Amino acid sequence: VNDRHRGGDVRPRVSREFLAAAGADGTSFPVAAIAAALSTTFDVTTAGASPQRSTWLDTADSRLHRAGLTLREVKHGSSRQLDLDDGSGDAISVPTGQTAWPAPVDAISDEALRARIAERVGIRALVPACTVISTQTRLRLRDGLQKLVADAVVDEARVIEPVAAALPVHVTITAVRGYEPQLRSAAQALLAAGAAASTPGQFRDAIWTVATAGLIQPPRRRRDLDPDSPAASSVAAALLDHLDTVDQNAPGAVADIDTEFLHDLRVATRSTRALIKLAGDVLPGGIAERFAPEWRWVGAQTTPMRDLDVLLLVLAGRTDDVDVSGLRALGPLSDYLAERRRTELRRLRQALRSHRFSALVTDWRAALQEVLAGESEHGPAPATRPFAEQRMRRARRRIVRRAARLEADWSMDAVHDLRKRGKELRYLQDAFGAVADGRTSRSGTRELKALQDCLGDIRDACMHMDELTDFAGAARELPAATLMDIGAMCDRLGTRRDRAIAELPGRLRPVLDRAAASPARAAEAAPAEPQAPGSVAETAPADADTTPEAPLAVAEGG
Amino acid sequence: METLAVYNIKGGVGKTSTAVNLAYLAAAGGRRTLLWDLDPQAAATYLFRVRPRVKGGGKRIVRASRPIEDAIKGTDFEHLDLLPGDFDYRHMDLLLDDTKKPTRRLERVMRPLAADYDLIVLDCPPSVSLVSENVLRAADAVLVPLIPTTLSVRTLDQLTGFVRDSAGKRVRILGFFSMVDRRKSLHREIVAELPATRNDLARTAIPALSVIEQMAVRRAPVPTFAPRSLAAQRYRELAAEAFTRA
Repeated sequence: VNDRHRGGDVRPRVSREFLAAAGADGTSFPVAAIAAALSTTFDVTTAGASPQRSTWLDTADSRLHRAGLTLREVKHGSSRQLDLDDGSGDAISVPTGQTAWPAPVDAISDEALRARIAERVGIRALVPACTVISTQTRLRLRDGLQKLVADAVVDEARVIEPVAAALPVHVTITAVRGYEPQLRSAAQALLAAGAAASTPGQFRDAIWTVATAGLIQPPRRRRDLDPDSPAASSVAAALLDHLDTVDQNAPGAVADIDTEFLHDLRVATRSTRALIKLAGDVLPGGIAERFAPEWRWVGAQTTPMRDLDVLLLVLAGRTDDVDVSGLRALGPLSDYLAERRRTELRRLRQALRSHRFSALVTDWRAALQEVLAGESEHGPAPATRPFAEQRMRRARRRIVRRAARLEADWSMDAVHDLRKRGKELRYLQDAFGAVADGRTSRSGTRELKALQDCLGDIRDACMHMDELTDFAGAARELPAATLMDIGAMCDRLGTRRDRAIAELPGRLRPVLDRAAASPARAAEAAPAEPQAPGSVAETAPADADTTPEAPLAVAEGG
Repeated sequence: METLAVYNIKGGVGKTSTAVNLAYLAAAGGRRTLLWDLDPQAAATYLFRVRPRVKGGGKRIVRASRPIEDAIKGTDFEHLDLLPGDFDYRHMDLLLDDTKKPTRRLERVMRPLAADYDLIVLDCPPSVSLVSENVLRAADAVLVPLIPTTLSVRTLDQLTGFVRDSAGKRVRILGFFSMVDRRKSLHREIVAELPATRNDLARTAIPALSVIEQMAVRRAPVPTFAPRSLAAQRYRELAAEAFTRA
């Protein structure tokens, strides 16, 4: 029994839900059968049926569904409304106009509903997940005195997009207040007729299962890594996960549905490049060396567009980077950036639709799958776990060394360099954290994260200041008020940068102290070894970061 | 939450019909409404097809031994609930007399309902008793159905005095003529003249019509089965006047 509150009632009314399996034709358990089953106990009358067509909306990565929310655009005849259901039965319904989905959350005109959705979806657009056609029939159940004791709503629905699918008939029986015991009789009648008791979210989940096939980013599982399997296979599996992400996000980036598609594509690209750099040497046949320039090209093609996205989000106050409150004259700058963005979007589309990109995706996938299938020649193969641990230790030491340098001699280049090394370690941890020893994979994570945040603050503030200054210089005839606001923004960014720089020594010290206290200190003090022969020289900086390790086959022979 | 009592010392003047129809119209207008049938005859309860029984009877209500909310029944109509009548209520006077502050007991009993309802309509038994005193204490306004006779004004005055003496607070009182028989000249004259001379009398009068008597056969408020009837129209007008003036 689920306490569900129906709008306008004075207190929650008790209801029970049932599902009755539909046949292949979708009509094997019609309303008449439900009514007949209930008629054994009650006097049943039909109080009307209403057909409707609903489009289920969510972000491409199902943020609403994951938050337990269902957003539907429902059409009854010529009227159209947006329903937001949080599963408690206390749904929000607002009339709406015609909207061409996908659309940003700003397309929702009702302020309260927009705010409720925006807090979950953030900057992601709402995309249609599926279309459902349904007929809801209301039955009224009366006792021997002809007193209404319960209402039954029979929902006969089927999914028509993205694929046609039959759904079970959904029955919700709600007791009139003070007649809750009659629900038990109704339940017995339906169960005897072959219906099954259901939980409140079960019908929604049944629809969602079909709907996920229509999402641009259907939920997917990452490939499992085995700590004892050859490291080459695990690296290939991790890279294939990133390739899937690239594959999944490229269409959304080309269609420009929202900025997160490109962001996710770039994160997967950076992760790919980091893995190629830090662990690509384990892959056979020089795969890593062959594809590294191509992934660098992808990174380069997507950077200008992403920089503009970030700056526009900053100007719109959609990020925590800087407070833009009170700056009301930034419109001309935003317009100018939006125009620049249109140009960059054309270039991005060209790149992502190019033969070069599709060949990269196809060939890279084929090469990795070959490694995964064990069809390529592996040579001496270290196991995943020791390999992953060794590379994480190495990456961490590299960070410690750079942190020490930065502490001794501060420069913006050094900040940027250390931040990039930090990101690489994070990508490595993300790929192999599950198979590595916990102490190795998580050691000093808290201190490193605090340092990364501080470096990020410095770097982002500086970058935005440079970009704003550049754009302001490039954009001709900006009004004086706009230039003043750009100046004010730069001032605020500068304050933030200065605060982060002041905090930096306090963030570096714990990282260095922890490294000094660790057993690997002796190893760190030892002279650096040359770059592992199999590593990818073109992306790996030629420095002395690699230190002696317990010899692994790959480090010796590649 | 507002509390409206429909009360008269006399019986058979249309209290229950008025309480039922006004409660229904308030609910139909979107107000969360509770009709409390305080009459042991439970006529309002009968009209809503609810069994005239409250578990624990009047004792439960007066002593608040169980939450009053659990005795409430939903009606067939949205936003309208009913606290049923029970023959056991005939002993309510004695039960109230046993309590501290016996004239304020019902007011206290109703307090938990304030969050759930916008309006509580009390259908009162015809008497001058401790129950009546409780009702008048609990009510914000009292609606008094009056048969248009020469004694009706006297009845209203008596009641006003009684309310002034017993309620101990300012309660708005609005009388209205009920069961008006247009065939009787006295009825016509009183209905035509008196409301203009007194500001505690409603302009709307409810005629004596068979469609109102049919409520007992249909077991439903007039506007549900005869929405265009004169009776339904008059009840709408009375509701508008009562909710505005009382």
